[in-house]
Amino acid sequence: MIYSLKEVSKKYSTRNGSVHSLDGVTFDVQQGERVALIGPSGAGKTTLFRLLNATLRPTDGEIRFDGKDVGLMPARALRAMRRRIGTIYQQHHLVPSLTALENTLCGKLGQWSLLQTLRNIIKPAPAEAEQAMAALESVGLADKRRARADELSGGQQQRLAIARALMQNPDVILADEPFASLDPALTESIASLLFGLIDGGKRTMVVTLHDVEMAMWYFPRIVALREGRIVFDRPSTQINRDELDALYAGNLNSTHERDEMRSSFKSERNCAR
Amino acid sequence: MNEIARADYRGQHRATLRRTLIAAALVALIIFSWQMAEIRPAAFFAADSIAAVIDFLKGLFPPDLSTDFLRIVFVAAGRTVAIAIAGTLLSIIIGLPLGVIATSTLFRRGVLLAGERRGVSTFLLAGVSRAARALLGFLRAVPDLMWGLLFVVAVGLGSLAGALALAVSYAGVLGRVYADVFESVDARPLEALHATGATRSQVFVRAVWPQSKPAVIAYTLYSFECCMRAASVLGFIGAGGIGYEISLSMRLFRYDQVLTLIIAFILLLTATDAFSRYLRRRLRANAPQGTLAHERVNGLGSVLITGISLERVMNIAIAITAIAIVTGSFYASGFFDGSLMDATLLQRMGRFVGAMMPPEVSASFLRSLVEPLFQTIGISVMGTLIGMAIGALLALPATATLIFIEKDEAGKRSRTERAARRGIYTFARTVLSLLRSIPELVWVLMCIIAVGLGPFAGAVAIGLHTGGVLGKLYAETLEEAPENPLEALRSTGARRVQVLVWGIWPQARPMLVSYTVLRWETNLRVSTVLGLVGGGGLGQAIYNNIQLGFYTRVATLILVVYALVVTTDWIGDRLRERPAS
Amino acid sequence: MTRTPPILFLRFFALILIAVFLLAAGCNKSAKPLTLRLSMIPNTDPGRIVRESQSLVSYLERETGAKVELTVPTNYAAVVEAIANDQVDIAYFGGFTYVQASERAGVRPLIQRERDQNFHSLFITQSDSPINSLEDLKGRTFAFGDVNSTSGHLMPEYFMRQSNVDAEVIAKAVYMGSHDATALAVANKKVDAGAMDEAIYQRMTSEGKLDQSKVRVFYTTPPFFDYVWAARKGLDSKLTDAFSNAFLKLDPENAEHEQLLEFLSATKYIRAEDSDYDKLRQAARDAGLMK
Repeated sequence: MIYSLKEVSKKYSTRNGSVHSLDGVTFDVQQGERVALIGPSGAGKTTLFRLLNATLRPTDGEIRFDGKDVGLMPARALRAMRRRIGTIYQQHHLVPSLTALENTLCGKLGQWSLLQTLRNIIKPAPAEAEQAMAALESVGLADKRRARADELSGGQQQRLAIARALMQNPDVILADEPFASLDPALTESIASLLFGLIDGGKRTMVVTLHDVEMAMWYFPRIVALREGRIVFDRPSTQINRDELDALYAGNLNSTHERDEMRSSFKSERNCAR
Repeated sequence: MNEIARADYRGQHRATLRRTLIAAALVALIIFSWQMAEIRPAAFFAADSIAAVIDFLKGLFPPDLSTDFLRIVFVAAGRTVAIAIAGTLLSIIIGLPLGVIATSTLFRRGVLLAGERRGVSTFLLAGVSRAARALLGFLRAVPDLMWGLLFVVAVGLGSLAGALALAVSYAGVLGRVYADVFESVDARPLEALHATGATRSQVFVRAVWPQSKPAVIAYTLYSFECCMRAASVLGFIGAGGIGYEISLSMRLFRYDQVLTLIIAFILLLTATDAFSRYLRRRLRANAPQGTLAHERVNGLGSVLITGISLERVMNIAIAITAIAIVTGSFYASGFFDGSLMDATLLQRMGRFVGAMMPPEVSASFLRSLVEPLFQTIGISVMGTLIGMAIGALLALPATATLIFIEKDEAGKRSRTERAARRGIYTFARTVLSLLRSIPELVWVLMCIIAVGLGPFAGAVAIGLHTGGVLGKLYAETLEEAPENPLEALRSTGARRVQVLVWGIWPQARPMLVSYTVLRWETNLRVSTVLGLVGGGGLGQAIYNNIQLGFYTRVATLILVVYALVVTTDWIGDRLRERPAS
Repeated sequence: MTRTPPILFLRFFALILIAVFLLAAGCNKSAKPLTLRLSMIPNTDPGRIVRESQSLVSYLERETGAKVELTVPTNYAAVVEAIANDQVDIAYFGGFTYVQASERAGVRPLIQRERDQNFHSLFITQSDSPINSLEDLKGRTFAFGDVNSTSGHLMPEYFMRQSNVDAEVIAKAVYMGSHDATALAVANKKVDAGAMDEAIYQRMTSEGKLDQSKVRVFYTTPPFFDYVWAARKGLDSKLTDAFSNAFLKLDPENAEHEQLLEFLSATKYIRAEDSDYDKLRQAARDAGLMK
């Protein structure tokens, strides 16, 4: 079992009192599983996502990674854990002034010593550079290696974020809305890239998605969240329309509103901060 | 692919060559500066230096808090405030008209002139405008302390010289800022008014002024803060106030008094900061409310009579207080000794300027300037480098995002670790603000104790103050680095140092470079005046020549300083435009 | 149009200024009692003079019948300018500044201490230093006091030139700004040697501010004329006479006088003559310190 969450809650204090972003969430993820987190905006997907890559601590409950309690991990163990988790953020979270190659190298950061860190920012070691080039090549960005991250298009940035995760060679891949802000054609190519990462079932993958169709298509297991609680958690083959409608009830009934939700996603993130 | 690789190689090669050249130039500059500033790190560790510093530190405690001395401190602080207020007001009086005249959109180009016939008068006006701008640049480029020294000799010792020096120096600063603000206003209302046949002064009062007022007030307040700082330091060259008392106590070896004075100085600056922050907040809060109240009064008439009268009373009270403070300031600055209306004041100043003409340009004198000139440059460069080192070293523990564990951070938490981190942070911030709040000139006096008179003391003094300033700016810049990429790096398991090197540094670098270059420009000005108190460089030459009454040489030296400052600003602008290299 | 906030606006600003200048103009007219504006050049300890001068001021007020205003500048040139501009009536000059002031402003010498007619500069170095004579200065670092000081710069340099001390030593010398600073720089080994005022040396050693185990005198200059009180051109002779007499009659036997004499580091005051300074004038011109 790679992830085990027990009664996990996360509260944020706002000006109007505290808000439950997650409320008593319990589920496990097995090694090699592919899980999609779905739900309307404000359901707590992003919060859960950040709890999973251990950049956020829960207010209550227990998260275990590979059997160890994350809340009790000293800094070193925490870093070791993060090293095993490759995260692909929705906003890509690239370092804008670094080149594509350097951003790819960042994936290895957790594995370097201090000396290597300093050395590689000046001039990457040949072995590392080769590896990074291979990662860039596999996402089709080899010719952009000298371009600064902020000079790349949205699709290219997404591919670069994937290259960074590739470089990291993680056991678990977390991706937050990997297809938001992409047009359909791009979505196809990114999706195949992303699922190529799973490497024949060796890696575990947890992805947040608002696009239910995609989730049903690509992911054997769906965890649905609404208002911070798990509504259902079952194989995608056993999910029916009514349940989905209930999940999004009052939130969206049409594709038009679904599109709106995409744009409102950003504000959800901001609240979560 | 081959093509790409080759082009790539060429580009890389060129970039490497450029980098190597820049690095070589920098190394050469540093070696040169090292020698000019007579850097001798060993001097710090000599037994006698250490003993002298320990003696000095011991002498500081306990601070002299006797009533007699506190009275002296109080009077000195009052005088400093008075000089600053009088200086600021005078600088507005001089700076505002010059700023208006120097505004290019009113007199030189833009919508107001587009349709006008190019006559003799337009030509003349443009010339006057250009001259006003040049004059402002000159007033600004000559450091305030140098103006102080000139006024001390021209009008006599004491507060009056200090106030006049501030007036002239900050008139240059304010006038230039005012002109920039006036130029940057929205041109459409100007055009509209101009089309109705309004005169220039009408256009200014109706269209330019209302738009630029908030910025003008903000900059004026900021300039007041600077004046307060400068007024405290002007005392060193005999212009009264706290600086004067510090230099006296230093000479008396009463280090306990020095400490009291430095504490008073820091308190004074803190109070000024707080006061101007309060004013700024009030002004911001007032602008919309004032409008509202006004409209309501117009609309509802007598319904709000009590409101009006209260507002009136408040205004009158504020007015009376302001008049009292300002009058008191001018009085304490020595304007009412009959000297302000004294015709001989202008006559004296005229005679002094006359004695400076023509600037001496004999070859032997000019040759003698080469060394102090290079020394000044060397001091500024080494001072900035020392400041960078101190600033960088202290900025890291002073950066909240680096040193603190976030409240929401996952993992085990240890109370002692948190306390230790807070302790380190607080310590670094405290040291930085201490370094920053003591002016360079006071640092020079202390450094002279440690390493003896000369450019080295000057460079270290600049370094200490700059370290405080840059450390704070560095820490703030590092803190403001966008957080998202950092979170991504952290999620790969990177340590703080690694996040710093790969995430924060690349994002913050342009700002860090820009701040450092700006500070170097400031330091160059400072290093021209450090010599006035024994820090070497051009200041020493200026001081000696003023002392000996060689005013024509002083004129040349001032021109040299002016040229140096203008050149530095130009270089600095170029460097800041392309900080990436 | 937005309404102006109640503080800091143009009209208001103008009002304040008008008020201030009216007040300034009004104050100007008020008549002043007879005042004697003195200025003491800080060749001796300026801090002490400024903070402990009250007894001298009240003594002089009693003797001259005028209100005495004493300013103690930290700047020599300012005093020369001030007396040239009639801002100061009587000033205490060092020998060199007196010469400058007499050239530029035609000041008249009044009185001086007896010792000022027979003044010396001391050349000091560390106790364990190998320097024992002016010749030994070759290749050493050297400190003068203020550039305008007679006993701290002009005369030491004059005698160094006379003894053919290596010109490099003089060219490379630092100006410490004051005698005390020179003494301390030598004591703390910041420079190899320095020249300073003998009276200040004596005072510093006797008051324990200069550790005698650290420094020693290796050369004493021949005598020269130094400090002198001088009056501006055109000052009423009744005032100058009263001033001079007040000093001339100071008597160490009298308890109050003794205190004042001690404050002034003096034993007895005598009249001063301009011609006594001719040699000094020449020395200043030779050294290129005066045109």
